[in-house]
Amino acid sequence: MNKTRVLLADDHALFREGLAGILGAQTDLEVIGEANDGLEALVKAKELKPDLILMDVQMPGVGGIEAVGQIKQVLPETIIVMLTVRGDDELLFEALKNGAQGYLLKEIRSQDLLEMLRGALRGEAALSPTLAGRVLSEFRRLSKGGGAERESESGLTEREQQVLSQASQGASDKEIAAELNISLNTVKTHIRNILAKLQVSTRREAAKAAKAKGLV
Amino acid sequence: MSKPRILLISSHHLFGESMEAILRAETGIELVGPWKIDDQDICQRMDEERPSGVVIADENLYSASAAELTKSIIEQYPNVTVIRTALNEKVLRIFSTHTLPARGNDLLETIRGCVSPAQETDKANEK
Repeated sequence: MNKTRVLLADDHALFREGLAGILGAQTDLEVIGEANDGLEALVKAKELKPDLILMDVQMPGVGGIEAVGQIKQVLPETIIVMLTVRGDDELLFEALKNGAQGYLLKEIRSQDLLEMLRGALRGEAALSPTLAGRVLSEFRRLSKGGGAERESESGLTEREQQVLSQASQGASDKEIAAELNISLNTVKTHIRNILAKLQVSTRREAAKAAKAKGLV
Repeated sequence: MSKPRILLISSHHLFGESMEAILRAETGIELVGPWKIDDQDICQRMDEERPSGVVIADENLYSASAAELTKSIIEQYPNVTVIRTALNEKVLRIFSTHTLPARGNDLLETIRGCVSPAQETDKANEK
């Protein structure tokens, strides 16, 4: 029987090692590689062509959400399931829009994780019931004309523009999180994505670029 | 020969099970758990299990629940070494009433270096 070839991407080496042990003990799964961040995941995915990638959301440098989009562009058949500590709506929706087949919380039991991964390989959505409910709510909101997120010319989503606007006024990540009622980790992910999309490396440069392009 | 008897406690199922996979594969360690960090009677249950070391795997290295639990364990079981690891940090932190040399971020090496075999701990508790 051909085993499903899995690539693990998570910056926590200890957690990744244990997860590899859990997956490797399965007769139908084989861990063929590991990555420490989104960029390494992209490089290894292109090299190893895994059937399935289990990807952490919060990683340094290129994060999981961004990596999903990049990997799906070159390997559209690869199934990607996100794994994270918190189920932030923003990141959940962005991951799914970028092509993730699932979004699971690290609270999940390993047995349930394995069932979800096998389901994802059959084309099912690997979503915990709570997160599935949030996706349904968002779908209903959008279909009522609630307004899909508009992207600016630079490709920033509406939420990213809000974060950038706050950051340009000198707000810290904590202040932005409080103002927009999102988690600190979500803010950090948005900032990373904003810097990547504007092709700058600091918040200051992002603020300058944003003002120059009339984004804020 | 007696081995370190390690109690594993975690905040998130998958994190705990990942740590369990690593620790169970190690023949030089006896593993108890994983237990959940928000269980009410951890210290009482430790009386029965008599671990020589505790690994606490939490979401955040500075979480209040992990800090409180560490403090309770060290106070009630001064010969037990507590090793903390967290999803938001890639280092291990060691808590003990004894002075211990600094270790790297290898969990198994840390356990081998800092946690006594179970029988030595039992003898210390009986004194």
